[in-house]
Amino acid sequence: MTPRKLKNSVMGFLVAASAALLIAVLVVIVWHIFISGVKYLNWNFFTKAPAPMGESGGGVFNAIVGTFLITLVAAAIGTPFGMFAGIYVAEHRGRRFADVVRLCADALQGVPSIVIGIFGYTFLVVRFRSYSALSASVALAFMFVPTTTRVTEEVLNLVPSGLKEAAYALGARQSSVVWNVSIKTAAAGITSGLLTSMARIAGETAPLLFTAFGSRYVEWNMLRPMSALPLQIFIYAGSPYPALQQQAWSAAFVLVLLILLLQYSAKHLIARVLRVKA
Amino acid sequence: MEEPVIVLETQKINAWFGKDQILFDVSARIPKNRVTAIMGPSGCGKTTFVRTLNRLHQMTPGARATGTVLLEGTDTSTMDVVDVRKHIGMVFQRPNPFPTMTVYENVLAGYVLTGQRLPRQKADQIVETTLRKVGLWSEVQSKLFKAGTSLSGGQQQRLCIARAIAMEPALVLFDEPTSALDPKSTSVIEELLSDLTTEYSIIFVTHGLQQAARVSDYVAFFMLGELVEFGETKRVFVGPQDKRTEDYLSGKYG
Repeated sequence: MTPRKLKNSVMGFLVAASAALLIAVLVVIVWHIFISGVKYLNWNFFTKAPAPMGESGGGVFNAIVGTFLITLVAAAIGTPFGMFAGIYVAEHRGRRFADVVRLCADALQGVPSIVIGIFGYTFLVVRFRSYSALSASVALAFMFVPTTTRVTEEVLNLVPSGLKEAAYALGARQSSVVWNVSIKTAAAGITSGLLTSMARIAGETAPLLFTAFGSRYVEWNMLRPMSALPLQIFIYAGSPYPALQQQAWSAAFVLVLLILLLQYSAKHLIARVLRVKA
Repeated sequence: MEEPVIVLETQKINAWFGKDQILFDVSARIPKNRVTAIMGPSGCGKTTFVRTLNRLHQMTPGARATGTVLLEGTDTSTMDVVDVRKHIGMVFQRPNPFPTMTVYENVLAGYVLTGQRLPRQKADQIVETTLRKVGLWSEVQSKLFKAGTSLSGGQQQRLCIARAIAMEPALVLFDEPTSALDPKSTSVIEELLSDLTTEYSIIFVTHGLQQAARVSDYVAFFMLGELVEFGETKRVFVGPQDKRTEDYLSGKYG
């Protein structure tokens, strides 16, 4: 074998092995979580609140409800801001203010989630003298907005300029072009971006520690402390009881499943956008 | 030869992209209900010229233009840009029907995008008559509620022509509308043009000499951003008055 051929096959092997490793890591994680938590993955686990101290059984229904509520409310708060900012940045390319907005979105994305949590604690929890799910949603919305802004901008930039020109040539004003052409053409992509952003915040733990705080009960009131899957995992995993530790694995499995599901739907939608473009 | 009625007149149009001047003092008189071809070598300002007429040129960051455009005697700078574009339709190089809209909706896109609501009956009627005008009705009658992008390339381009003329413009700008199409679709569109001139005036940008000769009644020859020669197509092709036109027609450049 010539040195060149050898080099080629070594590189080929390394590239393929790295790709395979990526799959292996995910499989190992999901498999391990599943095996460790399978014991509690039954109907009760999904439908019951935690059992009182000292009793066995119980579930994480409270945390499932909490994760859904907190994430959805955060998305509801963050979506308009993120989308509008994204539209602004996409429609004003090259303007200084748009560049500043884009830069800030990137910077905000880089702020560690623990810092966002402390921020929520200082300005919401302390101010209103109560831990609450709403303050958690607001904190998560801070993480949701910059990703949504960037995704919206990127997807809008994928809309072929020929379509926008066609609309302008028909006499449409900018607002009409944005709403009736750009947004509609990019709708699947924007939705996909929203789902990705939701997947990202659904798994966040640090901002919840200082804001939602956690609760042993099924809580629907956003103004009261509330549990969430990452919080429940955090608390159970740190507990000295093996039963709770196992439940932490079960909860982790539910959370990972939820996030993978969100990301899968997002990918599915993105594929549709790319088809429109071609 | 009687003097033709003029639909659009330009006076000393100058246009720039940043510091690069693209058009120099272009003054032209476009006859009504005729096809006027704009021809010339690549980069001579043909497309920029037509895009200054509906002010699309000015939308590009850094682009600007000066001069006067008179549409049926009215200075378009005194008109709202929306009105200008309602009276001057445009068909682009690549067919660009809106992918989120059906065939039916694409024909009416101009009305929807400018916020005009039409009664159902009127809408149906516009769609049918317009699609008949572009010879598409029999082909798409059964596909009206399928996506506009599901049609073939040539059909899509005729759909875009329908979209432009549905607004009943005085003038339609065609910017090399057949350059992305196969020869068959090209000839269908070329044959369509003379039918359309009974109602509309047409400016047809092309870089093909033969195409200009085939489709146009008048021709404007551009070079390096200047309008070199303008006249009846036959006259210009048989006896060009400018040396540059003659050289171009004999294939010396572009």
